[in-house]
Amino acid sequence: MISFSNNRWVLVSIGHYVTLFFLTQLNHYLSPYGIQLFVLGMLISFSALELNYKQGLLSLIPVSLVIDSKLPLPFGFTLIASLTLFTVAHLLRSRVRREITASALVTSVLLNLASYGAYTFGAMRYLSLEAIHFGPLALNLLASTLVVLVINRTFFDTQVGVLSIFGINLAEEQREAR
Amino acid sequence: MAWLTLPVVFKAFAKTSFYEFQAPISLTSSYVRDLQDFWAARTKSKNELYEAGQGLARLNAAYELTALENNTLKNEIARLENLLQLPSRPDYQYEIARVVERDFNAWWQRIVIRKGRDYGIPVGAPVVFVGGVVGRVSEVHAYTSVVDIISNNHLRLAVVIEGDNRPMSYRGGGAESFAKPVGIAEFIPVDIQIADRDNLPVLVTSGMGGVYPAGIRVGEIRRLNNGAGGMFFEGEVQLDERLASLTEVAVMIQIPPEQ
Repeated sequence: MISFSNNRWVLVSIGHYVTLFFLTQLNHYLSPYGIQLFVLGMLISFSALELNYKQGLLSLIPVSLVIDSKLPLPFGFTLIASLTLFTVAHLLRSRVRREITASALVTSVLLNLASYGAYTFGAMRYLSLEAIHFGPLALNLLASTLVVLVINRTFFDTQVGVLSIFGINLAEEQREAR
Repeated sequence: MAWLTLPVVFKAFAKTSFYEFQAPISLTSSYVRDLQDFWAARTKSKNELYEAGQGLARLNAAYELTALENNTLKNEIARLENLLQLPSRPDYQYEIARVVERDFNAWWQRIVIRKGRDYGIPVGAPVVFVGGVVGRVSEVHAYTSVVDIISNNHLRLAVVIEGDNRPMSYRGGGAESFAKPVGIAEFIPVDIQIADRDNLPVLVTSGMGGVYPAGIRVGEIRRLNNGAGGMFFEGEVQLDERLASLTEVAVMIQIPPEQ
């Protein structure tokens, strides 16, 4: 029998994948307007703020590899970028009051900004600087930030809610840990 | 750091496995989208369907005439080729494929289509649509293929201006704000001018290089700048805006010549 408490990364990983799936569908419809939404930072933020280091790391590995398998960048680029950002966020999380929604929101926005920057650097390094225009880059970043601002709370609540269905109460665990 | 030391074979295997693992989900969503369109069409009234049918009948009649004309011209070309003992040009089979996903962003522009190894799609095959060149197949998977759109910088092709046979080079120039894909034409002869903004020079494939057949539309040159050496112009190419909203494309598979 699988213990969901010890393998909560599986549930979080599935949640991350479902979020990315819906976002891919949305991006498909938004492509004629030149907008592509990017929310990788929000996923990293949840894993870093709500799970311990091992569970958080495990939850991000499969999702990052699925993203990587569809990108024209070298395989493993998203994995390295997201695990680096996750480690930094996890190290700094003791300085953040995690029960406050605004802290999670700021962390998500900053991590999204950093991962967007990493992708831009990757595209410049491996594809070409010439084909990257400032206009769409800024427009996509703005749209992505707005989306993270709007859905971050819902995303965190849904992930926590799904975990609670399987008997994992993150808030209680955090209180006990303190 | 451990990831960087892993062998390439392992990474290639992992990439294929992760891609094929999620591919059925993307494919299913594409079929669901088709079903959605089907049910949306079912809500149309009989009058609307009758009018659409009439329009299609007219189009079919026009296409039949064009097909007849094409056959006559093909026969004429074959006759002249035989007469002049010219080598025969490559023949293509068109594989029509639905678009599963559009990945159109500031970094790269690509689409995923619903046909892969199961339909014999080869890597590097040219992809076209009603507006001209779409791009080239860059990855082939079991049931899907990835197509790089011609606005990607690494995609280059040999082109000519319609009505002029001097060869030029084209490469992708990315996408500007609000999904306007652009390209860059190089080695444009200096006697080419843009006099009329409503009648811009049209770039078409030259047929050189062996990937794209000649005469397929690429885009329009909207601006000319001095090239690096000063002997040629460099031009900004406006590509078809429909490239960002494609739903169906045709993959051109070269038919090997008969021995």
